[in-house]
Amino acid sequence: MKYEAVIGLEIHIQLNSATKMFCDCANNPGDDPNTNVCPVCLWMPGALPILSLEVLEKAILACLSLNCEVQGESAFDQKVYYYPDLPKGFQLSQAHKPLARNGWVEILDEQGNLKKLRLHHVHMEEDVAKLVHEIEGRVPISLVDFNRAGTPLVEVVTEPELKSPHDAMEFLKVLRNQVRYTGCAECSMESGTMRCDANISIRPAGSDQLNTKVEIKNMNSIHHVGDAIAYEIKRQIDSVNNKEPIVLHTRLWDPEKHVTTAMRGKFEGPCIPDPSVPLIVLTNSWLEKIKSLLPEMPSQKVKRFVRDYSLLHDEAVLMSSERGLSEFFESVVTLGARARMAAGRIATQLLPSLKAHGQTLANTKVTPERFAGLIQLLEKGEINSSSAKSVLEKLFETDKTPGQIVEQFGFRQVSDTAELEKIVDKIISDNVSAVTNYKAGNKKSMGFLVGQAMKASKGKANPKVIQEIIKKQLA
Amino acid sequence: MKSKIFTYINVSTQPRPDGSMAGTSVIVESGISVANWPGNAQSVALENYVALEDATLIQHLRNAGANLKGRTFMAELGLGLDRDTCGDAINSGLSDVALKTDTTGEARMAATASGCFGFKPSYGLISRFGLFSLIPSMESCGIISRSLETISKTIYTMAGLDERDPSMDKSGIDRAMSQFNHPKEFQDCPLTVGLVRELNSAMGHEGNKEFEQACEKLGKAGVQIKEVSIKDFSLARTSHNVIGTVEASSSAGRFDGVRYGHRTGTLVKNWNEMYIKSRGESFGPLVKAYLFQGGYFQYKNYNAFLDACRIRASLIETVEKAFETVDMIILPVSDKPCATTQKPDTVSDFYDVFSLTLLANLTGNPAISIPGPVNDGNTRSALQLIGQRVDDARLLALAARISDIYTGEMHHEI
Repeated sequence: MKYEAVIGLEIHIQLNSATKMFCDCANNPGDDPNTNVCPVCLWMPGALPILSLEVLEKAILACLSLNCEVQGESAFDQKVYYYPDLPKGFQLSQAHKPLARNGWVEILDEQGNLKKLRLHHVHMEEDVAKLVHEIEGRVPISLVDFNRAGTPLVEVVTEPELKSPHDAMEFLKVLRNQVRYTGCAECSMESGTMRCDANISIRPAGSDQLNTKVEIKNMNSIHHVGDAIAYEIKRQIDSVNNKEPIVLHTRLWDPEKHVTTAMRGKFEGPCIPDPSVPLIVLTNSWLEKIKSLLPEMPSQKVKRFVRDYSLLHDEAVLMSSERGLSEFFESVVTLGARARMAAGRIATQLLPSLKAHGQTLANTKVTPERFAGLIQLLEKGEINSSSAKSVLEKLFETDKTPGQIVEQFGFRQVSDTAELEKIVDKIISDNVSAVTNYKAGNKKSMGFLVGQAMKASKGKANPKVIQEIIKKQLA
Repeated sequence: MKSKIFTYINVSTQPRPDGSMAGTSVIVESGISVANWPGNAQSVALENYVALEDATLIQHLRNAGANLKGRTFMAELGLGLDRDTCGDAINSGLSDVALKTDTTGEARMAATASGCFGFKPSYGLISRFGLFSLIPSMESCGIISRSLETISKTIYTMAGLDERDPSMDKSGIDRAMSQFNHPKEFQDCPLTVGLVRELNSAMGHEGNKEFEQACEKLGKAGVQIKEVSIKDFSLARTSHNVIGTVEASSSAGRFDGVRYGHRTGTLVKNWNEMYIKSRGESFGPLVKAYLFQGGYFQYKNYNAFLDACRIRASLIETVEKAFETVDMIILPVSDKPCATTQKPDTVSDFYDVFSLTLLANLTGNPAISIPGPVNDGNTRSALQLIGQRVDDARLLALAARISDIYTGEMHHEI
């Protein structure tokens, strides 16, 4: 029998608010252990949780970026379970009245068609502490670091309508990009600021039943999610073919062995309304104010870049993939650079150079102003393409304008015909066989001759002029 | 020598000589945080626990010059009145005021047993920051004193908006505070008290004779007695029992021996064992039974909890409606005469004692107990008045008038 997979994802996203969710402790889980703690997040007797307004705003922006309906009323519940990483026997989460419902995101499926994936809801919850197990000594001990306890998360829960590892990976990429755009979260699976659990079941292809699901945890990259889902689908199909029942449980992805292993029965504790955190009631006017803070989302931006700047779709997608990048691109264009040339140079030269220098758009000397200056020199033919690369390198090193760099280091393109004719004459007499081949109809030889001439000019010659002179000379 | 009344006597800090509470001594139950005082709430679960900070209400009292005397014995985690000695402290002249968290009626009941007034303020009038009862949605700092003026002064000092307590409502607090500044308005107005029609059926017998006599006395003195219907009155006890145990089960979750309090000394194999042993050694039988019931409703019968919440909402609504026609609701404090100590063995015994005080905790209304005469067998009856939400000052003023009639003495002018 042919089977199909039914996949639902639960994604935890750490918000980057300055403080924890219910107290004023810094939201920096990575600091020295137990330095960002207070009576509230340690749940000393008598402490009361005060929901941070910044957390609420950021959570709502994340929901809006995923096209969710933010609820006028939402509330916190206590998810009850006992574990040492949970300092009060329950986790404050939203089980009965989530912050937002009914979102969606669009992905491209394997055939390249747009596909809408629906979200069931998005809710807020506090993160738990971190356990450190010391098993080396004679008596194994476990230590608890409460820096992370009470830091803010939103959990995105999809409808179970993803069909494949491809869907899951594309979904995570789009989700990550959109939430990142709001500036509310880093969303990095590698650094743990985004975590994904997958619920997977299988059914005969074409049927609409929902069978027992298995939960998979511990994937720390988008690729791992794809690999783990692919493995799990195959494992379940094999089980069914071997007449083994599928039981509800949780499995852990092992990134080294590329397998999932059973961890425990899936635990569903009770969720009861919390009596201390008040009902969250949002007025329309306040919600409108938050909505006005939502930046243009990547999909809208792609459409606008294609329409207003005549970028190709793929170029527009690349220039919109991150908010900082899109803003850099638009600044460069606004400063007078031609859009397609700017997009091409950003993609092929600036981004790789930034990476090589270990910098980002946010912290580099290569400002939109300086980069736009470079592009304009190129457009006007004052430098050629290979000099442009050299100028870009200098932009990283000095604070001078591109024009000053061109003058100082002599990168100006030589288009003076008399000067270039001398160079071409020498190249033609030095490369007799290439000239013969060209005359015999071998077009590649032209490229070789132009290359030689460029080299002789130390890269400064205008290649178009060179080519015209060679053609003329050999005609 | 160990005190039979105090668990802790404060000798380290002197009160400010000035302020509205100067010269007034206050004892503070161990479930209310006072910085650097032992605060184990009489539970092994919190052994050696010392609060880092004052509760907000303690800060207010300090600023007003109150003399914070120490702590008296209390029942474990404030559940009931087993071993409670706050009334003894007042009767022995050792303190003017006792503060006692009231989640089921503890302050009113303790006051009754010792012949004092016991007041439970409106929920949210006094900051809950620093209070650690088992039932957060019902907890309120109760005040016990022989003097209504002292109670009034103490509430006025402790009340007020606190940004560390999310359950407070500014407009309600403003209204409550302004009433304290105009107490004379309530001195001569006509008075109507509401008698709950469903009282006898809830108590399950023909009626409480002493209570009826007290109401008659009020009627003769010109107080209008009017029947009001509180539809789910007889379900209040069940509703409190379900919600109270569920909240307690969650609230006690923090007493896990990981960060503070008691951790088992026996060797354990894993976390679970550590929890089970530590918590097993931490709690007494009544608290354990109470937490178990809460766990049952959380894990096995969540629908009963939802029903209890619906009943609570309906009670809040009908009590509110009753105040359209009456100034306050009158009830006995207890169906049975109050003894000074009760040691309930079961949750049901516990609720038998508090069956008539818990309504105000469920609805959040202010309530006061007015001590009556001592009966045969050294027990005492008492009246209970429930006022409208945040009308605490008014309730206190009217309580003075009712008390004068009830006991036949002129008491006070507030």
